[in-house]
Amino acid sequence: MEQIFQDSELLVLISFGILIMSLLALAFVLFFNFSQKRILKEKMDAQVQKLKHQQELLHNNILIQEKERSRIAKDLHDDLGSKLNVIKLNMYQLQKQKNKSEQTTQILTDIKSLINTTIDTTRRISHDLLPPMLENFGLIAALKELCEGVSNTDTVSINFEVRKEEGTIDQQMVALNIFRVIQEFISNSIKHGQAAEISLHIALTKEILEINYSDDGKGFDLDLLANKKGLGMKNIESRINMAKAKLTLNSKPNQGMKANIYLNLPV
Amino acid sequence: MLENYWMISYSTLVCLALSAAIAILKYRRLDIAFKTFGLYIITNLVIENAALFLARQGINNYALVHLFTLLEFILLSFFYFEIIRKPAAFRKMMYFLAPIVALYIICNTLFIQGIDQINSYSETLENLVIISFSIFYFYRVLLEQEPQTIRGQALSLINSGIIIYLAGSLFIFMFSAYLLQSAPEAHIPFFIFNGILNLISKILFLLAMIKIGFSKPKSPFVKTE
Repeated sequence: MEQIFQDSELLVLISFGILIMSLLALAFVLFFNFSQKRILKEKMDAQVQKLKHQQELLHNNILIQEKERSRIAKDLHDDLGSKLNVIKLNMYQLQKQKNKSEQTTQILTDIKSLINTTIDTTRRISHDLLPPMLENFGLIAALKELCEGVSNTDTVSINFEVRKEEGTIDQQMVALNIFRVIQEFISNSIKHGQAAEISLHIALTKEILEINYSDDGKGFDLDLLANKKGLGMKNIESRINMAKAKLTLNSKPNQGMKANIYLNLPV
Repeated sequence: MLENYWMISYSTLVCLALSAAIAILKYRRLDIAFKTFGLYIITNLVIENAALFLARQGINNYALVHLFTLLEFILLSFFYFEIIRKPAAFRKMMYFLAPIVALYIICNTLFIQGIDQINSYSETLENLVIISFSIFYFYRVLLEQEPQTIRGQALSLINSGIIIYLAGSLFIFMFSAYLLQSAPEAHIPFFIFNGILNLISKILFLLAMIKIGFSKPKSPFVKTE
Protein backbone atom coordinates (compact mmCIF):
# COMPACT_ATOMS: atom_id res chain seq x y z
CA MET A 1 0.00 0.00 0.00
CA GLU A 2 2.85 2.33 1.02
CA GLN A 3 4.70 1.40 -2.21
CA ILE A 4 1.63 2.25 -4.34
CA PHE A 5 1.29 5.59 -2.52
CA GLN A 6 4.98 6.38 -3.09
CA ASP A 7 4.68 5.39 -6.76
CA SER A 8 1.66 7.62 -7.32
CA GLU A 9 3.42 10.48 -5.53
CA LEU A 10 6.41 10.06 -7.83
CA LEU A 11 4.15 9.93 -10.87
CA VAL A 12 2.56 13.22 -9.82
CA LEU A 13 6.03 14.72 -9.37
CA ILE A 14 7.13 13.48 -12.81
CA SER A 15 3.93 14.91 -14.32
CA PHE A 16 4.63 18.26 -12.68
CA GLY A 17 8.21 18.17 -13.91
CA ILE A 18 7.09 17.44 -17.45
CA LEU A 19 4.44 20.15 -17.32
CA ILE A 20 6.83 22.77 -15.92
CA MET A 21 9.56 21.94 -18.43
CA SER A 22 7.06 22.03 -21.32
CA LEU A 23 5.69 25.37 -20.17
CA LEU A 24 9.20 26.75 -19.72
CA ALA A 25 10.20 25.63 -23.21
CA LEU A 26 7.05 27.10 -24.69
CA ALA A 27 7.52 30.38 -22.80
CA PHE A 28 11.12 30.51 -23.97
CA VAL A 29 10.16 30.00 -27.61
CA LEU A 30 7.37 32.58 -27.35
CA PHE A 31 9.69 35.06 -25.65
CA PHE A 32 12.27 34.54 -28.41
CA ASN A 33 9.68 35.07 -31.13
CA PHE A 34 8.28 38.15 -29.41
CA SER A 35 11.77 39.62 -28.96
CA GLN A 36 12.66 38.83 -32.58
CA LYS A 37 9.53 40.54 -33.84
CA ARG A 38 10.18 43.56 -31.64
CA ILE A 39 13.77 43.83 -32.87
CA LEU A 40 12.60 43.43 -36.45
CA LYS A 41 9.94 46.10 -35.99
CA GLU A 42 12.44 48.52 -34.44
CA LYS A 43 14.89 47.90 -37.28
CA MET A 44 12.16 48.29 -39.88
CA ASP A 45 10.95 51.54 -38.28
CA ALA A 46 14.50 52.89 -38.24
CA GLN A 47 14.96 51.83 -41.86
CA VAL A 48 11.67 53.45 -42.90
CA GLN A 49 12.63 56.67 -41.11
CA LYS A 50 16.05 56.64 -42.79
CA LEU A 51 14.51 56.04 -46.21
CA LYS A 52 11.90 58.74 -45.62
CA HIS A 53 14.60 61.18 -44.63
CA GLN A 54 16.71 60.27 -47.68
CA GLN A 55 13.68 60.66 -49.92
CA GLU A 56 12.86 64.06 -48.42
CA LEU A 57 16.45 65.14 -49.01
CA LEU A 58 16.30 63.92 -52.59
CA HIS A 59 12.94 65.65 -53.17
CA ASN A 60 14.33 68.90 -51.82
CA ASN A 61 17.44 68.52 -53.96
CA ILE A 62 15.30 67.98 -57.04
CA LEU A 63 13.12 70.99 -56.21
CA ILE A 64 16.14 73.22 -55.63
CA GLN A 65 17.76 71.86 -58.80
CA GLU A 66 14.65 72.64 -60.85
CA LYS A 67 14.34 76.13 -59.35
CA GLU A 68 17.98 76.85 -60.09
CA ARG A 69 17.67 75.45 -63.63
CA SER A 70 14.63 77.60 -64.22
CA ARG A 71 16.41 80.70 -62.90
CA ILE A 72 19.52 80.06 -65.01
CA ALA A 73 17.39 79.33 -68.11
CA LYS A 74 15.46 82.56 -67.66
CA ASP A 75 18.65 84.56 -67.04
CA LEU A 76 20.26 83.03 -70.12
CA HIS A 77 17.22 83.69 -72.26
CA ASP A 78 16.12 87.10 -70.95
CA ASP A 79 19.41 88.66 -69.98
CA LEU A 80 22.29 87.11 -71.88
CA GLY A 81 20.14 86.24 -74.92
CA SER A 82 18.71 89.72 -75.30
CA LYS A 83 22.12 91.35 -74.82
CA LEU A 84 23.60 89.11 -77.50
CA ASN A 85 20.76 90.16 -79.81
CA VAL A 86 21.57 93.83 -79.14
CA ILE A 87 25.25 93.12 -79.96
CA LYS A 88 24.12 91.39 -83.16
CA LEU A 89 22.02 94.42 -84.17
CA ASN A 90 24.94 96.74 -83.49
CA MET A 91 27.08 94.49 -85.65
CA TYR A 92 24.65 94.98 -88.52
CA GLN A 93 24.97 98.72 -88.05
CA LEU A 94 28.74 98.44 -88.18
CA GLN A 95 28.65 96.24 -91.25
CA LYS A 96 26.43 98.77 -93.05
CA GLN A 97 29.01 101.55 -92.60
CA LYS A 98 31.11 102.37 -95.60
CA ASN A 99 34.87 103.09 -95.89
CA LYS A 100 35.90 99.89 -94.12
CA SER A 101 39.11 98.13 -94.92
CA GLU A 102 38.90 94.53 -96.17
CA GLN A 103 40.47 93.31 -92.97
CA THR A 104 37.82 95.08 -90.84
CA THR A 105 35.04 93.57 -92.99
CA GLN A 106 36.51 90.08 -92.46
CA ILE A 107 36.78 90.62 -88.69
CA LEU A 108 33.19 91.87 -88.53
CA THR A 109 31.97 88.81 -90.47
CA ASP A 110 33.83 86.52 -88.06
CA ILE A 111 32.39 88.30 -85.02
CA LYS A 112 28.89 88.12 -86.49
CA SER A 113 29.25 84.38 -87.07
CA LEU A 114 30.56 83.91 -83.53
CA ILE A 115 27.66 85.91 -82.09
CA ASN A 116 25.18 83.77 -84.03
CA THR A 117 26.79 80.60 -82.70
CA THR A 118 26.74 82.00 -79.15
CA ILE A 119 23.06 82.95 -79.47
CA ASP A 120 22.26 79.41 -80.68
CA THR A 121 24.29 77.85 -77.87
CA THR A 122 22.63 80.08 -75.27
CA ARG A 123 19.20 79.16 -76.61
CA ARG A 124 20.06 75.47 -76.62
CA ILE A 125 21.40 75.53 -73.05
CA SER A 126 18.38 77.53 -71.92
CA HIS A 127 16.01 75.04 -73.61
CA ASP A 128 17.83 72.08 -72.12
CA LEU A 129 17.57 73.56 -68.67
CA LEU A 130 13.87 74.29 -68.95
CA PRO A 131 12.11 73.38 -72.18
CA PRO A 132 9.87 76.33 -73.09
CA MET A 133 7.69 73.88 -74.98
CA LEU A 134 6.77 72.24 -71.66
CA GLU A 135 5.79 75.53 -70.10
CA ASN A 136 3.91 76.81 -73.15
CA PHE A 137 2.41 73.74 -74.83
CA GLY A 138 2.48 70.97 -72.22
CA LEU A 139 4.11 67.59 -71.67
CA ILE A 140 3.23 65.87 -74.95
CA ALA A 141 4.57 68.70 -77.11
CA ALA A 142 7.74 68.86 -75.02
CA LEU A 143 8.26 65.09 -75.29
CA LYS A 144 7.69 65.26 -79.04
CA GLU A 145 10.28 68.01 -79.34
CA LEU A 146 12.70 66.00 -77.18
CA CYS A 147 12.24 62.86 -79.32
CA GLU A 148 12.69 64.81 -82.56
CA GLY A 149 15.82 66.43 -81.15
CA VAL A 150 17.33 63.07 -80.20
CA SER A 151 16.26 61.39 -83.48
CA ASN A 152 17.92 64.21 -85.45
CA THR A 153 21.30 63.35 -83.90
CA ASP A 154 21.15 59.95 -85.70
CA THR A 155 22.30 58.08 -82.59
CA VAL A 156 18.95 56.40 -82.11
CA SER A 157 15.59 56.26 -83.83
CA ILE A 158 12.57 57.10 -81.70
CA ASN A 159 9.07 55.93 -82.55
CA PHE A 160 6.90 58.55 -80.85
CA GLU A 161 3.18 57.92 -80.82
CA VAL A 162 0.34 59.73 -79.07
CA ARG A 163 -2.55 57.30 -78.80
CA LYS A 164 -4.94 59.65 -77.04
CA GLU A 165 -4.77 63.29 -76.13
CA GLU A 166 -7.99 64.24 -74.45
CA GLY A 167 -6.74 66.00 -71.34
CA THR A 168 -4.02 68.22 -69.94
CA ILE A 169 -1.68 68.08 -66.98
CA ASP A 170 -2.35 71.20 -64.98
CA GLN A 171 0.41 70.81 -62.41
CA GLN A 172 3.62 72.11 -63.98
CA MET A 173 5.85 70.22 -61.52
CA VAL A 174 4.17 66.88 -62.31
CA ALA A 175 4.67 67.41 -66.04
CA LEU A 176 8.28 68.46 -65.47
CA ASN A 177 9.01 65.37 -63.35
CA ILE A 178 7.54 63.00 -65.95
CA PHE A 179 9.47 64.84 -68.67
CA ARG A 180 12.72 64.46 -66.72
CA VAL A 181 12.06 60.73 -66.16
CA ILE A 182 11.62 60.17 -69.90
CA GLN A 183 14.71 62.29 -70.56
CA GLU A 184 16.67 60.04 -68.14
CA PHE A 185 15.28 56.88 -69.78
CA ILE A 186 16.36 58.08 -73.23
CA SER A 187 19.78 59.06 -71.93
CA ASN A 188 20.18 55.62 -70.25
CA SER A 189 19.00 53.78 -73.37
CA ILE A 190 21.66 55.54 -75.43
CA LYS A 191 24.48 55.64 -72.88
CA HIS A 192 24.14 52.28 -71.07
CA GLY A 193 21.74 50.28 -73.24
CA GLN A 194 23.32 51.24 -76.57
CA ALA A 195 19.83 50.99 -78.04
CA ALA A 196 19.18 51.52 -81.75
CA GLU A 197 15.42 51.93 -81.44
CA ILE A 198 13.23 53.46 -78.78
CA SER A 199 9.47 53.60 -78.73
CA LEU A 200 7.44 56.01 -76.67
CA HIS A 201 3.65 55.64 -76.63
CA ILE A 202 1.50 58.09 -74.71
CA ALA A 203 -2.16 58.12 -73.79
CA LEU A 204 -3.52 61.14 -71.97
CA THR A 205 -7.18 61.32 -70.97
CA LYS A 206 -8.93 63.57 -68.50
CA GLU A 207 -8.40 60.95 -65.76
CA ILE A 208 -5.07 59.28 -66.49
CA LEU A 209 -1.71 59.58 -68.16
CA GLU A 210 -0.08 56.35 -69.32
CA ILE A 211 3.32 56.18 -70.95
CA ASN A 212 4.84 53.00 -72.37
CA TYR A 213 8.54 53.24 -73.01
CA SER A 214 10.71 50.51 -74.51
CA ASP A 215 14.10 50.11 -76.12
CA ASP A 216 16.00 47.31 -77.88
CA GLY A 217 19.19 47.88 -75.89
CA LYS A 218 21.33 45.63 -73.73
CA GLY A 219 18.81 45.50 -70.92
CA PHE A 220 19.82 44.75 -67.33
CA ASP A 221 19.24 42.45 -64.41
CA LEU A 222 16.42 43.84 -62.27
CA ASP A 223 17.65 41.98 -59.18
CA LEU A 224 20.99 43.74 -59.46
CA LEU A 225 19.22 47.06 -59.93
CA ALA A 226 17.06 46.45 -56.84
CA ASN A 227 20.20 45.86 -54.77
CA LYS A 228 22.35 48.61 -56.20
CA LYS A 229 20.53 51.68 -57.44
CA GLY A 230 22.56 54.43 -59.02
CA LEU A 231 21.87 58.14 -58.66
CA GLY A 232 19.94 58.19 -61.95
CA MET A 233 17.58 55.44 -60.78
CA LYS A 234 17.14 57.12 -57.39
CA ASN A 235 16.28 60.36 -59.16
CA ILE A 236 13.75 58.57 -61.35
CA GLU A 237 12.15 57.00 -58.27
CA SER A 238 12.01 60.32 -56.48
CA ARG A 239 10.48 62.11 -59.42
CA ILE A 240 7.91 59.33 -59.84
CA ASN A 241 7.08 59.63 -56.13
CA MET A 242 6.85 63.40 -56.38
CA ALA A 243 4.46 63.08 -59.31
CA LYS A 244 2.49 60.43 -57.34
CA ALA A 245 2.78 58.11 -60.33
CA LYS A 246 3.41 54.37 -60.59
CA LEU A 247 6.40 52.98 -62.44
CA THR A 248 6.82 49.37 -63.54
CA LEU A 249 10.15 48.33 -64.98
CA ASN A 250 10.77 45.12 -66.86
CA SER A 251 14.11 44.11 -68.26
CA LYS A 252 16.41 41.15 -68.76
CA PRO A 253 20.00 41.12 -69.99
CA ASN A 254 20.12 41.34 -73.81
CA GLN A 255 16.35 41.73 -74.04
CA GLY A 256 15.95 45.49 -73.90
CA MET A 257 13.97 47.41 -71.32
CA LYS A 258 10.29 48.24 -70.89
CA ALA A 259 8.79 50.82 -68.58
CA ASN A 260 5.24 51.78 -67.84
CA ILE A 261 4.34 55.04 -66.14
CA TYR A 262 0.80 55.39 -64.88
CA LEU A 263 -0.58 58.52 -63.32
CA ASN A 264 -4.06 59.31 -62.04
CA LEU A 265 -4.87 62.92 -62.82
CA PRO A 266 -6.88 65.02 -60.40
CA VAL A 267 -10.38 65.47 -61.83
CA MET B 1 -5.38 5.01 -25.62
CA LEU B 2 -2.78 3.00 -27.53
CA GLU B 3 -4.66 3.70 -30.76
CA ASN B 4 -4.05 7.41 -30.20
CA TYR B 5 -0.36 6.72 -29.69
CA TRP B 6 -0.10 4.87 -33.01
CA MET B 7 -2.00 7.63 -34.78
CA ILE B 8 0.40 10.24 -33.40
CA SER B 9 3.39 8.08 -34.33
CA TYR B 10 2.20 7.64 -37.92
CA SER B 11 1.49 11.38 -38.25
CA THR B 12 5.03 12.01 -37.01
CA LEU B 13 6.35 9.61 -39.64
CA VAL B 14 4.44 11.43 -42.38
CA CYS B 15 5.97 14.75 -41.30
CA LEU B 16 9.42 13.17 -41.16
CA ALA B 17 8.98 11.57 -44.59
CA LEU B 18 7.94 14.90 -46.14
CA SER B 19 10.89 16.71 -44.50
CA ALA B 20 13.27 13.96 -45.67
CA ALA B 21 11.87 14.19 -49.21
CA ILE B 22 12.50 17.96 -49.25
CA ALA B 23 16.02 17.42 -47.86
CA ILE B 24 16.80 14.90 -50.62
CA LEU B 25 15.15 16.85 -53.46
CA LYS B 26 16.66 20.20 -52.47
CA TYR B 27 19.98 18.75 -51.26
CA ARG B 28 22.07 20.83 -53.65
CA ARG B 29 20.74 24.17 -52.48
CA LEU B 30 21.14 23.38 -48.76
CA ASP B 31 24.19 24.58 -46.85
CA ILE B 32 26.21 22.29 -44.57
CA ALA B 33 24.03 22.99 -41.51
CA PHE B 34 20.83 22.08 -43.35
CA LYS B 35 22.47 19.11 -45.06
CA THR B 36 23.41 17.84 -41.60
CA PHE B 37 19.89 18.47 -40.37
CA GLY B 38 18.50 16.70 -43.44
CA LEU B 39 20.71 13.71 -42.62
CA TYR B 40 19.37 13.80 -39.05
CA ILE B 41 15.80 13.76 -40.38
CA ILE B 42 16.53 10.83 -42.71
CA THR B 43 18.22 8.92 -39.86
CA ASN B 44 15.25 9.70 -37.60
CA LEU B 45 12.82 8.49 -40.28
CA VAL B 46 14.67 5.23 -40.91
CA ILE B 47 15.16 4.41 -37.23
CA GLU B 48 11.66 5.46 -36.19
CA ASN B 49 10.19 3.26 -38.97
CA ALA B 50 12.29 0.33 -37.95
CA ALA B 51 11.47 0.87 -34.26
CA LEU B 52 7.75 1.06 -35.01
CA PHE B 53 7.96 -2.10 -37.10
CA LEU B 54 9.77 -3.97 -34.32
CA ALA B 55 7.32 -2.67 -31.72
CA ARG B 56 4.38 -3.86 -33.86
CA GLN B 57 6.05 -7.27 -34.07
CA GLY B 58 6.51 -7.29 -30.31
CA ILE B 59 10.33 -7.30 -30.64
CA ASN B 60 12.51 -5.27 -28.28
CA ASN B 61 13.71 -2.16 -30.14
CA TYR B 62 15.98 -0.67 -27.46
CA ALA B 63 19.08 -1.33 -29.56
CA LEU B 64 17.68 1.10 -32.13
CA VAL B 65 16.95 3.66 -29.40
CA HIS B 66 20.58 3.39 -28.23
CA LEU B 67 21.86 3.78 -31.78
CA PHE B 68 19.57 6.72 -32.46
CA THR B 69 20.64 8.52 -29.25
CA LEU B 70 24.26 8.38 -30.41
CA LEU B 71 23.53 9.41 -34.01
CA GLU B 72 21.12 12.15 -32.91
CA PHE B 73 23.70 13.61 -30.56
CA ILE B 74 26.48 13.56 -33.18
CA LEU B 75 24.32 15.08 -35.95
CA LEU B 76 22.65 17.74 -33.79
CA SER B 77 26.01 18.68 -32.22
CA PHE B 78 27.49 19.15 -35.69
CA PHE B 79 24.37 21.11 -36.70
CA TYR B 80 24.84 23.52 -33.75
CA PHE B 81 28.59 23.61 -34.41
CA GLU B 82 27.74 24.89 -37.89
CA ILE B 83 25.08 27.44 -36.93
CA ILE B 84 26.75 28.92 -33.83
CA ARG B 85 29.81 30.63 -35.28
CA LYS B 86 30.49 32.96 -32.38
CA PRO B 87 32.06 33.00 -29.87
CA ALA B 88 35.08 30.97 -30.91
CA ALA B 89 35.19 29.52 -27.38
CA PHE B 90 31.91 27.69 -28.06
CA ARG B 91 33.40 25.91 -31.05
CA LYS B 92 36.56 25.08 -29.09
CA MET B 93 34.44 23.72 -26.26
CA MET B 94 32.52 21.54 -28.75
CA TYR B 95 35.76 19.79 -29.74
CA PHE B 96 36.01 18.44 -26.19
CA LEU B 97 32.38 18.18 -25.09
CA ALA B 98 30.95 16.31 -28.11
CA PRO B 99 33.45 13.38 -28.03
CA ILE B 100 33.12 13.05 -24.22
CA VAL B 101 29.30 12.88 -24.36
CA ALA B 102 29.40 10.54 -27.38
CA LEU B 103 31.84 8.30 -25.48
CA TYR B 104 29.56 8.31 -22.44
CA ILE B 105 26.57 7.31 -24.63
CA ILE B 106 28.59 4.36 -25.99
CA CYS B 107 29.82 3.37 -22.52
CA ASN B 108 26.27 3.56 -21.16
CA THR B 109 25.10 1.18 -23.88
CA LEU B 110 27.99 -1.23 -23.41
CA PHE B 111 28.67 -1.15 -19.69
CA ILE B 112 26.17 0.83 -17.61
CA GLN B 113 22.51 0.35 -18.59
CA GLY B 114 23.11 -2.22 -21.31
CA ILE B 115 21.56 -2.61 -24.73
CA ASP B 116 18.50 -4.49 -23.44
CA GLN B 117 17.34 -1.59 -21.24
CA ILE B 118 16.13 1.87 -22.10
CA ASN B 119 19.10 4.26 -22.06
CA SER B 120 17.58 6.86 -19.71
CA TYR B 121 20.98 8.15 -18.47
CA SER B 122 22.45 8.90 -21.86
CA GLU B 123 19.09 10.22 -23.16
CA THR B 124 18.92 12.64 -20.21
CA LEU B 125 22.51 13.78 -20.67
CA GLU B 126 22.05 14.19 -24.43
CA ASN B 127 18.83 16.17 -23.89
CA LEU B 128 20.49 18.50 -21.40
CA VAL B 129 23.45 19.15 -23.71
CA ILE B 130 21.27 19.76 -26.79
CA ILE B 131 18.86 21.98 -24.79
CA SER B 132 21.91 24.05 -23.71
CA PHE B 133 23.00 24.41 -27.35
CA SER B 134 19.48 25.43 -28.32
CA ILE B 135 19.21 28.05 -25.57
CA PHE B 136 22.67 29.34 -26.49
CA TYR B 137 21.65 29.63 -30.15
CA PHE B 138 18.55 31.69 -29.22
CA TYR B 139 20.70 33.85 -26.95
CA ARG B 140 23.19 34.50 -29.78
CA VAL B 141 20.43 35.41 -32.23
CA LEU B 142 18.92 37.92 -29.78
CA LEU B 143 22.36 39.30 -28.98
CA GLU B 144 23.26 39.86 -32.65
CA GLN B 145 19.92 41.64 -33.31
CA GLU B 146 20.04 40.87 -37.01
CA PRO B 147 16.79 40.93 -39.01
CA GLN B 148 15.70 37.35 -39.74
CA THR B 149 16.50 35.93 -43.17
CA ILE B 150 14.67 32.89 -44.60
CA ARG B 151 17.57 30.77 -43.29
CA GLY B 152 17.30 32.42 -39.87
CA GLN B 153 13.55 31.79 -39.76
CA ALA B 154 14.03 28.14 -40.70
CA LEU B 155 16.73 27.76 -38.04
CA SER B 156 14.44 29.35 -35.43
CA LEU B 157 11.67 26.88 -36.32
CA ILE B 158 14.08 23.94 -36.01
CA ASN B 159 15.44 25.28 -32.74
CA SER B 160 11.92 25.81 -31.37
CA GLY B 161 11.03 22.22 -32.32
CA ILE B 162 14.17 20.88 -30.65
CA ILE B 163 13.73 22.82 -27.41
CA ILE B 164 9.99 22.09 -27.09
CA TYR B 165 10.49 18.37 -27.68
CA LEU B 166 13.63 17.86 -25.61
CA ALA B 167 12.66 20.07 -22.66
CA GLY B 168 9.12 18.64 -22.51
CA SER B 169 10.41 15.09 -22.73
CA LEU B 170 13.36 15.53 -20.36
CA PHE B 171 11.53 14.14 -17.32
CA ILE B 172 10.00 11.33 -19.40
CA PHE B 173 13.45 10.21 -20.56
CA MET B 174 14.89 10.73 -17.09
CA PHE B 175 12.34 8.40 -15.50
CA SER B 176 11.70 6.15 -18.50
CA ALA B 177 13.62 3.21 -16.99
CA TYR B 178 11.67 3.56 -13.73
CA LEU B 179 8.32 4.01 -15.51
CA LEU B 180 8.82 0.94 -17.70
CA GLN B 181 9.93 -1.26 -14.81
CA SER B 182 7.94 -0.08 -11.79
CA ALA B 183 4.79 1.46 -13.29
CA PRO B 184 4.32 -0.05 -16.75
CA GLU B 185 0.59 0.78 -16.83
CA ALA B 186 1.35 4.42 -15.99
CA HIS B 187 3.93 5.01 -18.70
CA ILE B 188 1.42 5.08 -21.58
CA PRO B 189 0.04 8.63 -20.97
CA PHE B 190 3.61 9.88 -20.61
CA PHE B 191 4.65 8.32 -23.89
CA ILE B 192 1.54 9.69 -25.59
CA PHE B 193 2.54 13.13 -24.33
CA ASN B 194 6.06 12.48 -25.60
CA GLY B 195 4.53 11.48 -28.94
CA ILE B 196 2.55 14.74 -29.11
CA LEU B 197 5.69 16.79 -28.40
CA ASN B 198 7.54 14.74 -31.02
CA LEU B 199 4.78 15.44 -33.55
CA ILE B 200 4.89 19.21 -32.76
CA SER B 201 8.66 19.25 -33.24
CA LYS B 202 8.41 17.34 -36.52
CA ILE B 203 5.73 19.75 -37.80
CA LEU B 204 8.10 22.63 -36.98
CA PHE B 205 10.95 20.80 -38.75
CA LEU B 206 8.73 20.30 -41.79
CA LEU B 207 7.82 23.99 -41.85
CA ALA B 208 11.52 24.86 -41.63
CA MET B 209 12.38 22.52 -44.51
CA ILE B 210 9.55 23.96 -46.64
CA LYS B 211 10.82 27.47 -45.87
CA ILE B 212 14.41 26.70 -46.79
CA GLY B 213 13.62 24.32 -49.65
CA PHE B 214 11.05 26.42 -51.46
CA SER B 215 12.15 29.98 -50.73
CA LYS B 216 11.65 31.90 -53.97
CA PRO B 217 14.30 34.11 -55.52
CA LYS B 218 13.56 37.82 -55.68
CA SER B 219 10.80 39.01 -57.99
CA PRO B 220 12.11 40.13 -61.40
CA PHE B 221 9.97 43.25 -61.18
CA VAL B 222 10.82 46.44 -59.43
CA LYS B 223 7.74 48.43 -58.68
CA THR B 224 7.83 51.93 -57.41
CA GLU B 225 4.73 53.70 -56.20
